[in-house]
Amino acid sequence: MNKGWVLSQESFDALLDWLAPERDEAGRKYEEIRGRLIKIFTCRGCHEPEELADETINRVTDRLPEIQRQYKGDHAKYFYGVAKKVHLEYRRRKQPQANALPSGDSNEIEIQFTCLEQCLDHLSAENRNLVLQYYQLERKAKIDQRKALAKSMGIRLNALRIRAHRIRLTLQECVRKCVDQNL
Amino acid sequence: MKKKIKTYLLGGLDDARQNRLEERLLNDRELFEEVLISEDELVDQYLAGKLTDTEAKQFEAYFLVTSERQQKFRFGQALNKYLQLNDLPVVAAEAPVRTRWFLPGAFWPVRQVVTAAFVLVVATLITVAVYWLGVRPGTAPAGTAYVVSLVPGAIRSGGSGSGFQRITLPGRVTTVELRLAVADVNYKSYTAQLISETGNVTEFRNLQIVEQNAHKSVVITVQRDLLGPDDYRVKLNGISASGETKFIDSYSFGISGSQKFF
Repeated sequence: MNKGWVLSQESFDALLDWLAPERDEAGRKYEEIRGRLIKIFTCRGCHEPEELADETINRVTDRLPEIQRQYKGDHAKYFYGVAKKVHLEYRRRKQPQANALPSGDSNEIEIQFTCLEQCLDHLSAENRNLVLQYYQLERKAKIDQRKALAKSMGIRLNALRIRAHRIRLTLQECVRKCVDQNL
Repeated sequence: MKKKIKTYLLGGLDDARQNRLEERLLNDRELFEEVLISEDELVDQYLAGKLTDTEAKQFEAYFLVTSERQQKFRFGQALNKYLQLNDLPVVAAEAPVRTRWFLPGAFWPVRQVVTAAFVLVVATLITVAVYWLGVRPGTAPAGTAYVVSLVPGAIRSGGSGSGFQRITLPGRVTTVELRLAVADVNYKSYTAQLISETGNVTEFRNLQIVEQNAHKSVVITVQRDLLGPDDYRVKLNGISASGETKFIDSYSFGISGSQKFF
């Protein structure tokens, strides 16, 4: 990996200019591409997805003058092509590692549970009821009742699923911060 | 697609199908969200024992490889435990047979008459509210403060989301006055915590009861920049003469994006 290469402000600005003429739009695109590269490396079973995503971005930035001259297609696809090479090198370097389930440390489980209770308390009554009812039904696989819940809210079942998931993400983030503070 | 994503997350797609899915993933926002949702559903399915033996092995050996996924797993365990310990009432499924009620001798069903009357009342109320908020001198468009009256609810007061207000703040508002209706006025002073759903907490101290048109409330004034689009809860406490703090009630509301005036 090209670990010695450091992304300078100048190079980063050039990358943003390439992604979009408007700085806000370019920043949004950069974040979106980085987030999705991380997810792709995660889905490919890599232990260091953030590092690999940054390595991909560094390589693209490093070759930017050449890319700007020769490449006219979708930016994200170019990143993806580089990401596949980075992944191949990673596979050659690191053998797949056997992974164990997270440890059942009772103290950690207790902290996780307490944090969840606190974070649920931070939700509005509307969102708290929605997320608890949805996953209660999910757990029990009561499809008819999930449909009834969606109907009572005047939305489709898939919209309910997306809404419940977004609240779950908020909760997960809150619990992660809370656990970090308490461990 | 859900099945394909599940196979992808468990590391079971061949290279060609994996490449096609990942290329789409980079540009398709909906697909990306679907992958995120599927990750959480996979955790729940594993914890509920709904995966096949092969899937469960792939889940353990492949899916749980990163620390982010292990966090998702631990969160799923905690949520599962919470749901087991708090068995909530669920929404009843709608009865399959529909009943139509008729007024004797009339052609309109009662339900339609009631619905029409309800629509008329709601339309009148909305018209009055729009006039009150938008035209009345000294309120939102002309001034800088915006008044929101809140009633207790819904978690600790037994409601189920009723009374929840989602507010769109006019663009020129700089402060928001939250009026918390209270019945218990026997405290020396009051404190309030404004808690956003994302976990930010702002505390207000030395608050007093204000009486207006025979309604008693505790008023807190919040700078607009503290109220970004989010859901909020206000926890109100009373401070007795001996200095003891007692929880009184909580109030919920939401803020939507800004409204522009022409």
